[in-house]
Amino acid sequence: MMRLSPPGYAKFSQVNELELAYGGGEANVAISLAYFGMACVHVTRFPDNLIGRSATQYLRHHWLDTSEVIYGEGRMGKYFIEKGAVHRSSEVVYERDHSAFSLIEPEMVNWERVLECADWFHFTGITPGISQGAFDNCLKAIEVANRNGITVSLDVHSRKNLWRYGRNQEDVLNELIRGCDVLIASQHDMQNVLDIEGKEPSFETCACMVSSKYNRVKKVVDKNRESLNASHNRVQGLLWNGVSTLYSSTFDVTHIVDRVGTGDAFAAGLIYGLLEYENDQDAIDFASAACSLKHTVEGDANLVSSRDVKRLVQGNVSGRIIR
Amino acid sequence: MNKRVVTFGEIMLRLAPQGFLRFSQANNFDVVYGGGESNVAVSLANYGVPVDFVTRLPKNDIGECALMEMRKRGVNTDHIIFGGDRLGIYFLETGAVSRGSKVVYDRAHSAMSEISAGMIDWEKVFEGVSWFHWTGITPAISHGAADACLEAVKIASKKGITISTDLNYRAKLWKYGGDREAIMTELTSYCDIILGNEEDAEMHFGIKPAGISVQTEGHNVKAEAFLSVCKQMMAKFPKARKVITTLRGSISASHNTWAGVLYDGKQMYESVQYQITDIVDRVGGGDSFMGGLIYGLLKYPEDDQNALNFAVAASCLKHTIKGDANLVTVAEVEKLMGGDASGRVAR
Repeated sequence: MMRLSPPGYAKFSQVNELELAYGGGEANVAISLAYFGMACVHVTRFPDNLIGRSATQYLRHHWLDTSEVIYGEGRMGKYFIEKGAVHRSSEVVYERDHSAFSLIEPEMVNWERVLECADWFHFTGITPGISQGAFDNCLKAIEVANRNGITVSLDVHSRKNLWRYGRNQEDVLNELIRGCDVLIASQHDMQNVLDIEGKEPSFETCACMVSSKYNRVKKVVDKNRESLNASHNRVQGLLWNGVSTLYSSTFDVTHIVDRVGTGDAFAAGLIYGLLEYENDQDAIDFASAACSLKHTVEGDANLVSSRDVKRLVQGNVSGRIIR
Repeated sequence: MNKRVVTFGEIMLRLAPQGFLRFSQANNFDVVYGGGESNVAVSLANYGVPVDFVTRLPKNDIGECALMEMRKRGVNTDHIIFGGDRLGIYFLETGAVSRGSKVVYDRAHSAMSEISAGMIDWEKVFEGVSWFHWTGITPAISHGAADACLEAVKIASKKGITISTDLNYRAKLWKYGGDREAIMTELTSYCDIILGNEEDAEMHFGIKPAGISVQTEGHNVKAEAFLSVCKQMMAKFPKARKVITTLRGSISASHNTWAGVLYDGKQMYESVQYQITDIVDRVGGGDSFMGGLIYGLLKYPEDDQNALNFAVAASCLKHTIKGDANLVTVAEVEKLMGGDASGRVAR
């Protein structure tokens, strides 16, 4: 989507100018992985006009392979964001109906070709919430990935304001999770697909139940966010790997620069961690540190290197100037 | 288009005060990355021509940003090499009316200036390539850059690749003590296509248009006067198939006329003359001409008039675009070529 935001902490009612960027959950993950040094292809559909082409240039600028981007009718989805501070929350307004992406159909993407040399396929719960065509593409991609032994990860990411095309989130997720190896989901997300009544079960209980219901799911990952206020959060990652739940240390983000996209930064850190490290503890530490650093970067995507993240994982929180 | 083009040169960080502010007033600089040869590459990428930009960048965040800018514009960067300490910088103050724009270079000891022959594997770079483009800026930077450029033209020439140059005389460069005329003469002797502006041939080779002085009659450049320049160039460089001159009439820093002539050894083609009444950014005007010319000659191999018209229209549009590179599409250029200079809103 196109992201339009007042500069700094200004409110919409104050500004004559909006800052322009592009972002979206999955593209943010891809950009972050690319900054870690991984080769990433982002598949999407943009309007066939100068706005769509600028969006492609934005992705390419941030190292993504855009050779599988397709173009057609429809418009660029947009979101407006007003950044909060301290006790004033950030606010987001979406304008994504009838976007070029919402008009995507399964036959438009050659998933066999896209996934030919891939090791990992990642998507989020936003995509199947957009339209039937977007959902069908997810199913097709998962089917091809599963058949070719490619790891599939889903960041469930529930968004209440989607799901307006006649499907409900629970049924759709049920179909999608079946093909996933790695699931990023909160207890709340899991409860929705598990049909658990009564009081809130623990993350570990939910994770166990999810992996016995969907036996492809090997790891369930989540993060705890303590929101002291809009400017100060604490984040900690947790990863259930079928044996136990591993916790990262807690990162204290005392002065948030931009918290949009921090979940995507977490997902990217997790993918990198699981691909790079033998050890799940190292992976969740990397994911949490990456997520923590994203809070200090303007814009949707986490523009930090794997070296920056490793420095933080090793406990260097000094923020001293690197000369 | 399946013809592949390679351009070779230095890309720099351009730092410019905003709008028409003078250096002494500015608290902010706008950031752009550009250079003569990278600008040509961006033009071609916009027209859908597969194009490689070859240079040497420092392995730091600033060098990386220059590379990212090329990638963003769709230019292939696989043959860029890394090393050295810094990216060259140029400062640009934009002029208006009778106050000319000013450029201050801060490019000494750049990664590109410390390139030397043998660092780039030209045999590999030129695999499957139809066209190689360099400019007079590269040999002006350093001995090493001049040597690397000579190495490139020799290999390209051996492989039968079309070679073009933009003579691009830069008075503030050529500081390293190289024999400018001898070096430029040798490099240019390998070229099939030679582009210059009103002054380049005179500054490099002492070849003058008959009967006018560009400096004093800059607002009134006559195409026919350049026939003598083209003929003298052809005589000096027998390999050259076409000699092209851009004709900029500098009425003021804000208002230029813009046209071009192309001589193929037999016939002189002239373009229409455009009035660019309100210049937005004229830096890269010549590069955008070259980008348009390469596209035009590849697209209309039998029609030099059309190729020239494309180049002139493309570079005319560049004067309305902020930054070094020409960010226009073929359709936009063709619209102007077709006579639609109305600038009406395209809805």
